[in-house]
Amino acid sequence: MTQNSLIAAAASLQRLEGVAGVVLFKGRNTVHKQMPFSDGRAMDLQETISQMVDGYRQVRRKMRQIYLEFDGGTLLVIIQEDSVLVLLLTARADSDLVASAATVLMTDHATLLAQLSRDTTATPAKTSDGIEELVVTSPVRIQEMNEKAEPVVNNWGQVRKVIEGILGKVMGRAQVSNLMDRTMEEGQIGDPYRLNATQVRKLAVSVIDHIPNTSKRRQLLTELESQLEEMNL
Amino acid sequence: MIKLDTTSGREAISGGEPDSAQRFASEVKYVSYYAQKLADTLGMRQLMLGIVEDREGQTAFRASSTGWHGAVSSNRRSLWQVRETLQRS
Repeated sequence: MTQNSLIAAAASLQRLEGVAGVVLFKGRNTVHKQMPFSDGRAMDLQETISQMVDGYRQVRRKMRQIYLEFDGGTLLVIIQEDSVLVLLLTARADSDLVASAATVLMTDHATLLAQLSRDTTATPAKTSDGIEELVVTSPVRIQEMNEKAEPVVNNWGQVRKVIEGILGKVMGRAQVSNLMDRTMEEGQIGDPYRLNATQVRKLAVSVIDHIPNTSKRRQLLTELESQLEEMNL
Repeated sequence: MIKLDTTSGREAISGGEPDSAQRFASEVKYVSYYAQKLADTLGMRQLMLGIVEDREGQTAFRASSTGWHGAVSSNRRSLWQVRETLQRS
Protein backbone atom coordinates (compact mmCIF):
# COMPACT_ATOMS: atom_id res chain seq x y z
CA MET A 1 0.00 0.00 0.00
CA THR A 2 1.15 3.51 -0.79
CA GLN A 3 0.43 6.93 0.63
CA ASN A 4 -1.77 7.56 -2.40
CA SER A 5 -3.96 4.58 -1.54
CA LEU A 6 -4.18 5.83 2.04
CA ILE A 7 -5.28 9.29 0.88
CA ALA A 8 -7.83 7.77 -1.50
CA ALA A 9 -9.19 5.54 1.27
CA ALA A 10 -9.46 8.48 3.69
CA ALA A 11 -11.19 10.59 1.05
CA SER A 12 -13.60 7.77 0.23
CA LEU A 13 -14.91 7.82 3.82
CA GLN A 14 -16.61 11.06 2.84
CA ARG A 15 -18.82 9.08 0.46
CA LEU A 16 -20.54 7.45 3.43
CA GLU A 17 -23.84 9.12 4.23
CA GLY A 18 -23.58 11.91 6.79
CA VAL A 19 -19.79 12.29 6.69
CA ALA A 20 -19.18 16.03 6.21
CA GLY A 21 -15.42 16.11 6.69
CA VAL A 22 -12.30 14.01 7.20
CA VAL A 23 -8.84 14.79 8.59
CA LEU A 24 -6.08 12.21 8.93
CA PHE A 25 -2.89 13.25 10.69
CA LYS A 26 0.11 11.98 12.57
CA GLY A 27 1.77 14.52 14.84
CA ARG A 28 2.20 17.61 12.66
CA ASN A 29 2.00 15.64 9.44
CA THR A 30 -1.44 16.13 7.86
CA VAL A 31 -1.95 13.18 5.53
CA HIS A 32 -5.40 14.16 4.31
CA LYS A 33 -7.70 17.07 5.12
CA GLN A 34 -11.09 17.85 3.66
CA MET A 35 -13.38 19.85 5.91
CA PRO A 36 -16.39 22.01 5.05
CA PHE A 37 -14.72 25.14 6.40
CA SER A 38 -11.50 27.14 6.07
CA ASP A 39 -8.02 25.60 6.36
CA GLY A 40 -7.32 27.81 9.39
CA ARG A 41 -10.33 26.48 11.25
CA ALA A 42 -9.45 22.91 10.26
CA MET A 43 -5.93 23.48 11.61
CA ASP A 44 -7.38 24.77 14.92
CA LEU A 45 -9.56 21.68 15.13
CA GLN A 46 -6.59 19.42 14.43
CA GLU A 47 -4.46 21.23 17.00
CA THR A 48 -7.05 20.88 19.78
CA ILE A 49 -7.66 17.18 19.06
CA SER A 50 -3.91 16.62 18.91
CA GLN A 51 -3.49 18.20 22.39
CA MET A 52 -6.33 16.09 23.75
CA VAL A 53 -4.92 12.83 22.35
CA ASP A 54 -1.40 13.76 23.54
CA GLY A 55 -2.80 14.16 27.06
CA TYR A 56 -4.06 10.59 27.01
CA ARG A 57 -0.73 9.43 25.57
CA GLN A 58 1.18 11.10 28.40
CA VAL A 59 -0.70 9.02 30.96
CA ARG A 60 -0.16 5.92 28.78
CA ARG A 61 -3.79 5.33 28.00
CA LYS A 62 -4.29 3.37 24.79
CA MET A 63 -7.23 5.24 23.31
CA ARG A 64 -9.26 3.73 20.50
CA GLN A 65 -12.12 6.07 19.81
CA ILE A 66 -13.66 9.33 21.01
CA TYR A 67 -17.23 10.21 20.06
CA LEU A 68 -18.34 13.77 20.77
CA GLU A 69 -21.91 14.73 19.99
CA PHE A 70 -22.45 18.49 19.96
CA ASP A 71 -25.66 20.43 19.51
CA GLY A 72 -24.88 20.96 15.81
CA GLY A 73 -22.92 17.88 14.74
CA THR A 74 -20.65 15.08 15.87
CA LEU A 75 -16.90 14.53 15.91
CA LEU A 76 -15.68 10.96 15.73
CA VAL A 77 -11.97 10.46 16.45
CA ILE A 78 -10.29 7.13 15.70
CA ILE A 79 -6.83 6.69 17.22
CA GLN A 80 -4.18 4.16 16.31
CA GLU A 81 -0.77 4.60 17.88
CA ASP A 82 0.35 8.12 16.79
CA SER A 83 -2.15 8.41 13.94
CA VAL A 84 -5.49 10.15 14.33
CA LEU A 85 -8.47 10.07 11.99
CA VAL A 86 -11.12 12.74 12.62
CA LEU A 87 -14.57 12.61 11.05
CA LEU A 88 -17.19 15.35 11.18
CA LEU A 89 -20.64 13.75 11.07
CA THR A 90 -24.13 15.10 10.54
CA ALA A 91 -27.26 13.62 12.13
CA ARG A 92 -27.77 11.46 9.02
CA ALA A 93 -24.62 9.42 9.62
CA ASP A 94 -24.70 5.86 10.90
CA SER A 95 -21.99 6.39 13.51
CA ASP A 96 -21.27 2.69 13.98
CA LEU A 97 -20.87 2.16 10.25
CA VAL A 98 -18.53 5.15 9.92
CA ALA A 99 -16.54 4.09 13.00
CA SER A 100 -16.18 0.57 11.65
CA ALA A 101 -15.10 1.78 8.20
CA ALA A 102 -12.61 4.22 9.71
CA THR A 103 -11.16 1.56 12.02
CA VAL A 104 -10.80 -0.84 9.10
CA LEU A 105 -8.95 1.88 7.17
CA MET A 106 -6.54 2.48 10.05
CA THR A 107 -5.95 -1.25 10.54
CA ASP A 108 -5.43 -1.94 6.84
CA HIS A 109 -2.90 0.90 6.60
CA ALA A 110 -1.25 0.33 9.99
CA THR A 111 2.19 -0.47 8.55
CA LEU A 112 2.18 2.53 6.25
CA LEU A 113 0.94 4.84 9.04
CA ALA A 114 3.70 3.59 11.34
CA GLN A 115 6.29 4.54 8.69
CA LEU A 116 4.97 8.08 8.22
CA SER A 117 6.84 10.98 9.74
CA ARG A 118 5.29 13.01 12.59
CA ASP A 119 6.76 16.21 11.13
CA THR A 120 5.27 18.53 8.55
CA THR A 121 8.40 18.37 6.43
CA ALA A 122 7.96 14.75 5.53
CA THR A 123 10.28 13.49 2.83
CA PRO A 124 8.62 12.15 -0.32
CA ALA A 125 7.61 8.54 0.07
CA LYS A 126 9.57 6.03 -1.94
CA THR A 127 8.22 2.82 -3.36
CA SER A 128 10.03 -0.50 -3.19
CA ASP A 129 11.70 0.17 -6.56
CA GLY A 130 13.21 3.40 -5.20
CA ILE A 131 11.04 5.70 -7.28
CA GLU A 132 9.59 8.65 -5.38
CA GLU A 133 5.87 8.46 -4.98
CA LEU A 134 3.73 11.35 -6.14
CA VAL A 135 1.48 12.42 -3.27
CA VAL A 136 -1.72 13.73 -4.76
CA THR A 137 -3.50 16.57 -3.00
CA SER A 138 -5.68 17.93 -5.80
CA PRO A 139 -9.39 17.42 -5.00
CA VAL A 140 -10.07 16.57 -8.67
CA ARG A 141 -7.42 13.87 -8.66
CA ILE A 142 -8.66 12.54 -5.34
CA GLN A 143 -12.13 12.32 -6.79
CA GLU A 144 -10.79 10.32 -9.74
CA MET A 145 -8.94 8.04 -7.35
CA ASN A 146 -12.10 7.59 -5.27
CA GLU A 147 -14.05 6.48 -8.26
CA LYS A 148 -11.46 3.84 -9.00
CA ALA A 149 -11.04 2.77 -5.39
CA GLU A 150 -12.72 -0.37 -4.10
CA PRO A 151 -15.51 0.25 -1.62
CA VAL A 152 -14.17 0.18 1.93
CA VAL A 153 -17.29 -1.28 3.52
CA ASN A 154 -20.38 -3.24 2.52
CA ASN A 155 -23.99 -2.19 3.07
CA TRP A 156 -24.43 -3.90 6.45
CA GLY A 157 -25.58 -0.57 7.92
CA GLN A 158 -28.59 -0.51 5.57
CA VAL A 159 -29.29 -4.22 6.06
CA ARG A 160 -29.15 -3.76 9.83
CA LYS A 161 -31.79 -1.03 9.56
CA VAL A 162 -33.97 -3.36 7.47
CA ILE A 163 -33.68 -6.09 10.13
CA GLU A 164 -34.43 -3.58 12.89
CA GLY A 165 -37.55 -2.48 10.98
CA ILE A 166 -38.78 -6.04 10.46
CA LEU A 167 -38.02 -7.37 13.95
CA GLY A 168 -39.26 -4.13 15.50
CA LYS A 169 -42.77 -5.43 14.82
CA VAL A 170 -42.32 -8.36 17.20
CA MET A 171 -39.78 -7.16 19.80
CA GLY A 172 -38.19 -4.04 21.30
CA ARG A 173 -35.17 -2.26 19.79
CA ALA A 174 -32.82 -3.33 22.58
CA GLN A 175 -33.89 -6.96 22.08
CA VAL A 176 -33.27 -6.65 18.34
CA SER A 177 -29.82 -5.23 18.99
CA ASN A 178 -28.98 -7.99 21.48
CA LEU A 179 -30.25 -10.64 19.07
CA MET A 180 -28.01 -9.28 16.30
CA ASP A 181 -25.00 -9.21 18.64
CA ARG A 182 -25.73 -12.79 19.75
CA THR A 183 -26.10 -14.00 16.15
CA MET A 184 -22.75 -12.43 15.24
CA GLU A 185 -21.11 -14.00 18.27
CA GLU A 186 -22.53 -17.42 17.32
CA GLY A 187 -21.27 -16.98 13.77
CA GLN A 188 -17.91 -15.68 15.07
CA ILE A 189 -18.33 -12.54 12.99
CA GLY A 190 -15.99 -9.87 14.31
CA ASP A 191 -16.82 -7.10 11.87
CA PRO A 192 -20.03 -7.39 9.82
CA TYR A 193 -18.97 -4.50 7.60
CA ARG A 194 -16.26 -6.68 6.05
CA LEU A 195 -18.58 -9.48 4.91
CA ASN A 196 -19.33 -9.99 1.24
CA ALA A 197 -22.89 -9.67 -0.11
CA THR A 198 -23.68 -13.41 0.28
CA GLN A 199 -22.42 -13.43 3.86
CA VAL A 200 -24.43 -10.28 4.72
CA ARG A 201 -27.58 -11.96 3.36
CA LYS A 202 -26.80 -15.14 5.33
CA LEU A 203 -26.29 -13.13 8.52
CA ALA A 204 -29.58 -11.27 8.03
CA VAL A 205 -31.45 -14.58 7.57
CA SER A 206 -29.79 -16.17 10.60
CA VAL A 207 -30.91 -13.24 12.80
CA ILE A 208 -34.55 -13.74 11.73
CA ASP A 209 -34.13 -17.53 12.15
CA HIS A 210 -34.05 -16.97 15.91
CA ILE A 211 -37.78 -16.20 15.94
CA PRO A 212 -39.31 -19.33 17.56
CA ASN A 213 -42.82 -19.09 16.10
CA THR A 214 -42.70 -20.89 12.72
CA SER A 215 -45.42 -18.97 10.89
CA LYS A 216 -44.21 -15.61 12.19
CA ARG A 217 -40.64 -16.49 11.22
CA ARG A 218 -41.72 -17.42 7.66
CA GLN A 219 -43.64 -14.18 7.35
CA LEU A 220 -40.64 -12.11 8.51
CA LEU A 221 -38.24 -14.02 6.25
CA THR A 222 -40.49 -13.32 3.25
CA GLU A 223 -40.46 -9.65 4.15
CA LEU A 224 -36.67 -9.72 4.53
CA GLU A 225 -36.21 -11.42 1.14
CA SER A 226 -38.39 -8.81 -0.51
CA GLN A 227 -36.44 -5.91 1.02
CA LEU A 228 -33.05 -7.46 0.26
CA GLU A 229 -34.13 -7.89 -3.35
CA GLU A 230 -35.00 -4.20 -3.51
CA MET A 231 -31.44 -3.52 -2.33
CA ASN A 232 -30.10 -5.85 -5.06
CA LEU A 233 -28.54 -8.04 -2.39
CA MET B 1 -25.53 5.22 36.67
CA ILE B 2 -23.09 7.86 37.88
CA LYS B 3 -24.07 11.51 38.22
CA LEU B 4 -21.77 14.50 38.30
CA ASP B 5 -23.69 17.49 39.58
CA THR B 6 -22.10 20.80 38.65
CA THR B 7 -24.79 23.18 39.80
CA SER B 8 -24.32 25.63 42.68
CA GLY B 9 -20.66 26.10 41.75
CA ARG B 10 -19.50 22.86 43.34
CA GLU B 11 -19.02 19.38 41.97
CA ALA B 12 -20.87 16.51 43.61
CA ILE B 13 -20.60 12.95 42.37
CA SER B 14 -23.03 10.19 43.20
CA GLY B 15 -23.70 6.58 42.19
CA GLY B 16 -21.39 3.81 41.03
CA GLU B 17 -18.38 2.26 42.72
CA PRO B 18 -15.84 4.77 44.14
CA ASP B 19 -13.19 3.88 41.51
CA SER B 20 -15.67 4.12 38.64
CA ALA B 21 -17.10 7.38 39.96
CA GLN B 22 -13.63 8.90 40.23
CA ARG B 23 -12.73 7.78 36.73
CA PHE B 24 -16.05 9.07 35.40
CA ALA B 25 -15.53 12.51 36.94
CA SER B 26 -11.96 12.79 35.63
CA GLU B 27 -12.98 11.69 32.15
CA VAL B 28 -15.92 14.08 31.95
CA LYS B 29 -13.84 17.06 33.12
CA TYR B 30 -10.97 16.28 30.73
CA VAL B 31 -13.18 15.68 27.70
CA SER B 32 -15.54 18.60 28.35
CA TYR B 33 -12.58 20.99 28.62
CA TYR B 34 -11.38 20.12 25.12
CA ALA B 35 -14.93 19.69 23.82
CA GLN B 36 -15.68 23.33 24.63
CA LYS B 37 -12.63 24.42 22.59
CA LEU B 38 -13.76 22.16 19.74
CA ALA B 39 -17.33 23.49 19.93
CA ASP B 40 -16.00 27.06 19.65
CA THR B 41 -13.91 26.08 16.61
CA LEU B 42 -16.85 24.34 14.95
CA GLY B 43 -19.25 27.19 15.65
CA MET B 44 -21.36 25.01 17.92
CA ARG B 45 -22.50 25.68 21.46
CA GLN B 46 -21.90 22.69 23.67
CA LEU B 47 -21.19 19.01 24.05
CA MET B 48 -24.34 16.96 24.49
CA LEU B 49 -22.95 13.45 24.72
CA GLY B 50 -19.53 11.80 24.81
CA ILE B 51 -18.29 8.22 24.49
CA VAL B 52 -14.61 7.60 25.16
CA GLU B 53 -13.19 4.18 24.44
CA ASP B 54 -9.79 2.72 25.30
CA ARG B 55 -8.51 -0.84 25.64
CA GLU B 56 -10.00 -1.07 29.12
CA GLY B 57 -13.55 -0.19 28.15
CA GLN B 58 -15.93 2.71 27.57
CA THR B 59 -16.87 5.82 29.50
CA ALA B 60 -20.11 7.39 28.33
CA PHE B 61 -21.80 10.55 29.55
CA ARG B 62 -24.64 12.84 28.63
CA ALA B 63 -25.43 16.41 29.60
CA SER B 64 -28.34 16.84 31.99
CA SER B 65 -30.01 19.85 33.58
CA THR B 66 -27.74 19.52 36.63
CA GLY B 67 -24.46 18.41 35.02
CA TRP B 68 -23.58 15.02 33.56
CA HIS B 69 -24.75 11.47 33.97
CA GLY B 70 -23.41 8.25 32.51
CA ALA B 71 -21.42 5.13 33.21
CA VAL B 72 -18.03 3.46 33.06
CA SER B 73 -18.06 0.00 31.51
CA SER B 74 -15.50 -2.68 30.74
CA ASN B 75 -17.70 -3.95 27.90
CA ARG B 76 -17.44 -2.56 24.43
CA ARG B 77 -20.88 -1.73 23.09
CA SER B 78 -21.92 -0.10 19.83
CA LEU B 79 -22.26 3.67 19.74
CA TRP B 80 -25.95 3.22 18.93
CA GLN B 81 -26.50 1.03 22.00
CA VAL B 82 -24.67 3.43 24.31
CA ARG B 83 -26.61 6.42 23.00
CA GLU B 84 -29.91 4.57 23.45
CA THR B 85 -29.01 3.66 27.04
CA LEU B 86 -27.99 7.23 27.90
CA GLN B 87 -31.08 8.73 26.33
CA ARG B 88 -33.37 6.39 28.25
CA SER B 89 -31.75 7.16 31.58
